[in-house]
Amino acid sequence: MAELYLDVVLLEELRDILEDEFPSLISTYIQDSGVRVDDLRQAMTRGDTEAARKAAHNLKGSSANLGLVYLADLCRIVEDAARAGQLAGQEAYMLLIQQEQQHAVVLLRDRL
Amino acid sequence: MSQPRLRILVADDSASDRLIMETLLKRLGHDVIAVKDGLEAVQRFEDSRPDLVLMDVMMPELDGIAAARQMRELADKELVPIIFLTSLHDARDLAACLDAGGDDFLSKPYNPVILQAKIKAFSRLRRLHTEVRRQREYLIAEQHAAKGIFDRIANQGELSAANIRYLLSPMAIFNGDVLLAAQQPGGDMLVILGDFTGHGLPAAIGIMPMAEIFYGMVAKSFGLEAVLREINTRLKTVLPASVFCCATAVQMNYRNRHIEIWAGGLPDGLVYHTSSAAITPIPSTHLPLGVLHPDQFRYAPMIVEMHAHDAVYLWSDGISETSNPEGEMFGEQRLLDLFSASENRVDMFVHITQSLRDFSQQGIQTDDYSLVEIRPRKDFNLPEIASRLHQSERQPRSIGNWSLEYELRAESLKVSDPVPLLMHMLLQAPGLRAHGGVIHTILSELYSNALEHGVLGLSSRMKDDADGFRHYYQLRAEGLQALQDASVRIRAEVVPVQEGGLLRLRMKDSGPGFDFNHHGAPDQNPAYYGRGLTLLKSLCRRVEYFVPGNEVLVEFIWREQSN
Repeated sequence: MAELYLDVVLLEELRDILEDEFPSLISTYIQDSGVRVDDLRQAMTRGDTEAARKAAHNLKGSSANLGLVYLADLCRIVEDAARAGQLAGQEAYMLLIQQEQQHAVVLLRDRL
Repeated sequence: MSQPRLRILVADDSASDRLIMETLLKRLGHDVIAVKDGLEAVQRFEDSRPDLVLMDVMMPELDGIAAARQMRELADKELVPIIFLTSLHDARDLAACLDAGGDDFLSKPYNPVILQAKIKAFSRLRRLHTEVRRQREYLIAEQHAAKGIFDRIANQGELSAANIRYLLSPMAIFNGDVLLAAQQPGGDMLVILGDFTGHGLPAAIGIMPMAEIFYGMVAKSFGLEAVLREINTRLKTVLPASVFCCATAVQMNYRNRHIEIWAGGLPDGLVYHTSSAAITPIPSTHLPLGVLHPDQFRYAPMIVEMHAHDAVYLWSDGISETSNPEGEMFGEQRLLDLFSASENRVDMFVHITQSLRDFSQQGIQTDDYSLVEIRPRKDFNLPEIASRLHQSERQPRSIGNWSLEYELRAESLKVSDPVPLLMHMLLQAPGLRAHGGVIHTILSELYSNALEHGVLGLSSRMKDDADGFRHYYQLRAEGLQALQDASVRIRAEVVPVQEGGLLRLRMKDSGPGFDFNHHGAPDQNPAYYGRGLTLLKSLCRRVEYFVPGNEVLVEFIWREQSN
């Protein structure tokens, strides 16, 4: 079940490459992704499409890099909507992103 | 071969992505500079001079695209590959990255194998680029050296003479344009404008033997025909068949007051008659130099009268190929129109160069053609020109007491000019070299009188008007062609006298002679005839004719200069 949310193979490769730096990568991501989710939510509340697009894009990239495929997909949907200037109707996805980021934190901590 | 250690700049505002990339690169053995926005990236790019840049597209402060543009400017000629780190999937965004100077993409999530492969590829590209640049610099240095040699060769001539103005393309040596000018000891000026086929150094190679022959022979009093024949022979021998030299060559013959022009392959130049604003075109009637076998080389020059205010204009094809920003070429017709549309007294040289600049709407440095203007010397007073000394030449061992006799018979009269050969002998006499110009004038005058008036029976009075002038040279050519049983005998004697020497020249032709006692009258019109005798009398201590007027004796005395 976890494979739908997390590409375990990719994450294990990262662990092999980063060695001692791996725990630091996890904690960096946990902290950073929390900030991005806050940025995204505030941007959507303000209706700031450009800021929303950037926050979604950033979170998409860093999540993909850790193998968090589902979260990255959610971010891509919101990023595309922001690029098209259509933030309205994206609140449901915003909620999913928030939930999924918290889920990701749990998954990653399990792997430490 | 092991991977070289590179200095890599990583710019990404995502802390976790930055950490991954930094660690990946360090594990691969590279030095990493990691920054979190575009502004910082540009700063570190400038002060750390990285070998490679890995950069996110969307960053605060300055985005990746703007940062890449600034880096491109900072890098100048150096190649620093920029790889964008992105998860962009929109084609337009990717295109914008490339437009900004990005070289490649790496998408998230990072794949270490692909990352390593890309770094390897760009590292190799950068090495190649550096190598190409090094070789190009080497080539430019060599071309610079070649140009230096070429300029020294060209400058040993008379290009700076007051009666010549020219514009030689700054890249002349590499587009094969060459301009040579030199003065004979007797004062005649010879000029060649040439354009070798092809470009680059192969085109320039022929310039060296050409210049050497030209300066060497003109200094020894050889005329246009002999010089061109020798150049043709040498170029034919030395150069590959595909390389030859389109050229127009001019001799300002002050003694005969005419301009002799040989044209082979260059665009038609012209003689501009300032007083009437009329032009006489110079059609190319020969094959270029270096094409024909020496036996087949043809010399059929155009001869025009020399007037003080006329000027010869020659140019390379670059002039009509000068194009404007719309890509339209200047063309031959526009050039000719400049002449016909101009008021007289307009400075044509300036007019032409200015018109070309106006047309091309470019600055001076883009002139890519050669243009030369040759005017008669203002004072084409022979004795004065002739007395210009050539003292700089090193004096060979002098031979001071001798005589020689030299007879040219019909076949020799047709093809050879004895003046350079005799000059060479005479100048062996101690101290006589300093008077080379005068000796050349005396010899030319004597020989020309013997041949044209004595042997061929031509009257200098024919040259009274322009038609007669042309007729004269036509008859001269025909007469030479038909010549049989004729001769010119020359006796030269050098005798040392105190602090100098005496040169005695005796010339006898096979003609019937002339009434030298009644030859004074035409001196009233020295522009066309009768100048010869007056000239000789002004240069020599003694001028004496013998009955029946086919033999003349002149004596010239000189003092050796002490020092």
